[in-house]
Amino acid sequence: MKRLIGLFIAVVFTSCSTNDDNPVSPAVSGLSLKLEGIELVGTGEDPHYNLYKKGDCLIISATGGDLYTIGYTFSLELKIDEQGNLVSGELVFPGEVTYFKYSSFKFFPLSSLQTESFSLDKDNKRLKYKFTCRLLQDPENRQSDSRLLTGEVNMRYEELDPDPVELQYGSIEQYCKASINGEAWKARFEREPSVFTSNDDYKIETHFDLNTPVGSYAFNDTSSENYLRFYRFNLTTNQYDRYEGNGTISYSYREFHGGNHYSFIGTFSFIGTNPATGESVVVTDGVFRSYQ
Amino acid sequence: MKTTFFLPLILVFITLASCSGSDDNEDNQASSLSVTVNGEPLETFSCRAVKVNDHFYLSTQNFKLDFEKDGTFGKTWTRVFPPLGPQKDFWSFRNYSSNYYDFNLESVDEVHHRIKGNFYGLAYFDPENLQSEAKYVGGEFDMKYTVQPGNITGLSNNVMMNGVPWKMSTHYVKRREFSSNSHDLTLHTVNDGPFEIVIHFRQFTTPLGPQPFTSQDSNYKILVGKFDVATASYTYYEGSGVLNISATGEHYVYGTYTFDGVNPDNPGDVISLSGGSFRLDFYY
Repeated sequence: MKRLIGLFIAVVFTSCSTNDDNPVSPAVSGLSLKLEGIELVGTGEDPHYNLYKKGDCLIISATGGDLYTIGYTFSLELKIDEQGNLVSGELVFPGEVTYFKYSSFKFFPLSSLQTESFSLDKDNKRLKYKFTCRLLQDPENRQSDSRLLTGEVNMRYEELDPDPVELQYGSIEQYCKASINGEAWKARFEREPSVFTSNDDYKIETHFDLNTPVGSYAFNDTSSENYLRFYRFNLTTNQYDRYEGNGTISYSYREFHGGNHYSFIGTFSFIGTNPATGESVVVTDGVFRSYQ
Repeated sequence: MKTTFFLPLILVFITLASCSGSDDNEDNQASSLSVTVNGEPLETFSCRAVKVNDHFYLSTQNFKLDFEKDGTFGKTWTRVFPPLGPQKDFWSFRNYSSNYYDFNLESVDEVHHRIKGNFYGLAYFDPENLQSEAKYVGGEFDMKYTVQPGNITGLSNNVMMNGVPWKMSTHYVKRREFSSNSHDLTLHTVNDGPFEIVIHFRQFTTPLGPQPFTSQDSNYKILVGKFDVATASYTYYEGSGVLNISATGEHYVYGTYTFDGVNPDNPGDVISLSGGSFRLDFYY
């Protein structure tokens, strides 16, 4: 009989307690998300949230809301890098036939989020993170309608296998990496062929004339056949500032994709200046695999 | 022996009960929603209520009701499964709804997040046709609600109508109402009273910024209609105004407007809209 009572107590505590891996008390540990001050996680029917680490990114995802009230369910995904900088953010309110979507600023994603505190404990796979994020109705227009998301994370993450290929155009592997003013940089997006961006304000474009043989080519601001262009997004003018300068771009191989399409594989360097501000940039050790 | 056999079952039962998330545990008062259709009870499992801005939405799989915090009725939707044939949807009449449907919001407790009220009246297969098949849909609710953010902030159409505040409680969209153009969109905004304010524009092609219009324009305009119970139709005031769409996209439109119009059947009946402001979503 004593064993049964002991079993009862154990069952009750086991079934009603929460463990730290999936906590339910965001104030202490877990995930707290508010939209314009209204709680997103913890309200409505069946809210779910998760935290993953995949490659060098952490992914916070949450869904919830009233499933029968059109427009008032939601799904959220925030992807941040290992420094707490936003890579991409998306909040979706699904409807019966369509959906409302709010996204991070396409041309400079990390400008959409302010980090209040960030701590990544890789040994214990734990993230502590507090942030404020503004997601836009038009991801290309910072003046468009927006939603203010505030969040606090204190939970363990599940580590997933990284994608075998980090960046693709279509289904074709791509990459663009370099040292920019001594800091390692890598592209996270290639939304147009040969146009590489990341979550910061840099943009790098590569171009080769299709009749160009394998080799290394010097370029300057007026080059029109084989060149690299370097830009930074200007939040004041809401446009990219193109840097003027010169450099070298080369390719050692190009992979044929049909028609006049290739992936060029090569290296680059560039030294330039923003003509508007006088700010200089030194790009070295550039490598790329660029669809064109 | 019997005790040894039944005790584990009793313990499991107690364990499960102690972890349930019922409203009884949360608020010591259960939520309830009962609906009848032509006197027959409608299944209302998984009923819930949410508040978005100042608007409440009650919903189950087969029934929805929405209304403003001040008690202004929005609409009902009821799905009926006849013994034979396909399911049918019935809606409260869209126009001048307080004349056709009774809705009583008895209390709103924003401290404990509870709402209570009742509703009854005819719901129609075609929400704009009083001659269409109808069912008598009635019921009452006493429910706990949750607060949720909406798909857009500040969903609304507010205006001063002859110096008196007017605001919508529900809206719906129609396409190609004023032309065959596929971008022709018309948002009908109504509350439970006799007036409707219609926002007509061409999606993606109506320019942003202030655009003067008259009631005869087919590209973009504001219309004010007054519902005539005798004819079951709207009389639209004729006049002119300015429509200023500030932002629009696939499923939203925001803007401001003014309008001055005259009842074509009664020149002494004029309406002046000032300070109009709308933020609307639409699905079609």
